[in-house]
Amino acid sequence: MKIQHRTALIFATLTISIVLLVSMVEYYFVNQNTFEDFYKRLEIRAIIAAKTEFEKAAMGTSAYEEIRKLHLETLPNEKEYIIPVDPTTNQPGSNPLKVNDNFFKEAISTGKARYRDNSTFYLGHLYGDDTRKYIVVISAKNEFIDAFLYNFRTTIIISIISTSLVSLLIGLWFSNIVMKPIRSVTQKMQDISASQLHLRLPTPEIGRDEIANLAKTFNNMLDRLESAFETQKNFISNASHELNTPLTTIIGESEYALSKPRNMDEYAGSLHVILSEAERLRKITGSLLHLAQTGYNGKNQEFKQLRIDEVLFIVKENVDNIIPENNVYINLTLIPEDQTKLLVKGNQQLLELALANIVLNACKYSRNQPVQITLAASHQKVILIIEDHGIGIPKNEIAYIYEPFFRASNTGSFNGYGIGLPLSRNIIRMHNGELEVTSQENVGTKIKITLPLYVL
Amino acid sequence: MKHLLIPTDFSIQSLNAVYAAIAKYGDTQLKITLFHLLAPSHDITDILFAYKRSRPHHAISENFKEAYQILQNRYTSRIHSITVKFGYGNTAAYLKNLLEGEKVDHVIFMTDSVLQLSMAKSIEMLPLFRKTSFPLDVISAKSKKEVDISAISMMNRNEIKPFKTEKSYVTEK
Repeated sequence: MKIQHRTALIFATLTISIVLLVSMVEYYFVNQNTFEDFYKRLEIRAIIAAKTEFEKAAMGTSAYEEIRKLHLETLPNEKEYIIPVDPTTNQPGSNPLKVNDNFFKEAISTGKARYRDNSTFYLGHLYGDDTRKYIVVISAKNEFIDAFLYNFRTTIIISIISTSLVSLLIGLWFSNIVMKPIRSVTQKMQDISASQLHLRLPTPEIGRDEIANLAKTFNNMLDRLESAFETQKNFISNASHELNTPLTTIIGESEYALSKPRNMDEYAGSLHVILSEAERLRKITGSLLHLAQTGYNGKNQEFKQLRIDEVLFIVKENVDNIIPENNVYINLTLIPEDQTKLLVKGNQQLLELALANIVLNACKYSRNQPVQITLAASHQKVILIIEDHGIGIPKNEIAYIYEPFFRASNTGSFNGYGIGLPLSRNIIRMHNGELEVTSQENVGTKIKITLPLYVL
Repeated sequence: MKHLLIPTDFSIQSLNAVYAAIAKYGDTQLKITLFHLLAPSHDITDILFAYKRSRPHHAISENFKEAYQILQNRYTSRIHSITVKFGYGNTAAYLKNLLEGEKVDHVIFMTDSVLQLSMAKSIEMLPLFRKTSFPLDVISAKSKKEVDISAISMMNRNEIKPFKTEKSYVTEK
């Protein structure tokens, strides 16, 4: 059974049982009250009957008869019995009624007694002085109560049935509303298959409810999944490309050295070149290995307290190594005076990788025109702006730049795989940060990275 | 400590006045109030439910908040605090009262930046401030440009949609 239907059912059962309980309690008390009411009516009649019978001498019958006629309607099947009590045995003289003895005993001892035989009610009233006692018994059929209780029962049954229907409907509607966000999340999740891992669930900006949290958690998981997928998919092509460049240099240099006999200095020069390229090669394999190991299995990710400006200087150094003719400037005019405002929590290697990717892109696509990196901090965030004056991104393509392997239409003359930016963005997201890109074609690109401040 | 009141239209450019202020008065600690004037409401519900006054604070862009926080962090030693304040009034008397009540030392305007009326009920601030006969600090932005705050902003000037443009006081003269 779906949770939605179960919720509706539970809701309906709850409502119905409450209504049922209330109706039963109501019925019980109404029933009791109407009995009481009828007995009171009988009592009045009994008292008047007794007075008429025994105080004829004092008042005359007519006065009581008149009162009785004027103010008391005759009840259905109303009968009147006067039974003398034997003063010696203290027992009723005769018993013309189908009433058990307890009725009379009670009447004699307490002066009043009640008895009910289905809808016929009896009321006994003791009357008399010390010498002579009588029990006046009035009996009548209570037809009112039958009709009244019948009506009451039907009303209750109808109301229970209608309440059940209404509560079932409301329950369905209610559970439908409750389950709606979950259903929509499920629906969106179904759209995300292995080949479309770049899709994300929409997360409402202001939403802090459970569903928004769920969507965010899913998105984080998708980030990790996507990066893992991508690294897996592109590792070989990435690695071979990265390894190819130094290898080509080494081979070229060796061929050049071996092409004819040379003197010692020339051989030494060639060997130096080969050594430095081999070292670069080792560095690359090392870092690739590191990426594969630390990367995205979730176990080895160590998040430590880092100073973002230090990371930035290391990135600058790395960029200098890879593109010596770069024009990267770090703008520190907005750097906060308080150094604790530069602390972030993160993984040094990953952050370096992410930033280096972006800075290298900026250098590459601007053909080494000046690239400015500005560092600043607000109260909650560290902000990095990387601005270049390169070819930019065409306006209608900016929506696709985070898709792996997507390359803008104006990048034909540049080498690349379209992996750097998505990877960087995923790394930034892993650090709970954000990456925003604004660009104007042939003017330049501005990338803003925000990372949450490390809370001391 | 000096209390400076800087009228703003919530554009990043208007924060240049903060630089100018630091350049001019930076030898003491500064308490800076970024001020924006709104027309008072004549609607009975608005008056009864004054909490609605917190609404314009939500209209301030994240970029602007970020930008003044960056400035505050940049000059921690010189800036004691930066806060945003809305005024509700359209008379010089109100402004004069406010300036006295808040114990404002200087009011700073920039010569070359024209403040936009960035909210539906914004009021032109410069003419009213002039009427208060409170001495205004009018600083030329070109005099000293220490840092370009717009470097940090992803927001272009065009992104503020002004309802009207306040007359430049230069031409007003």
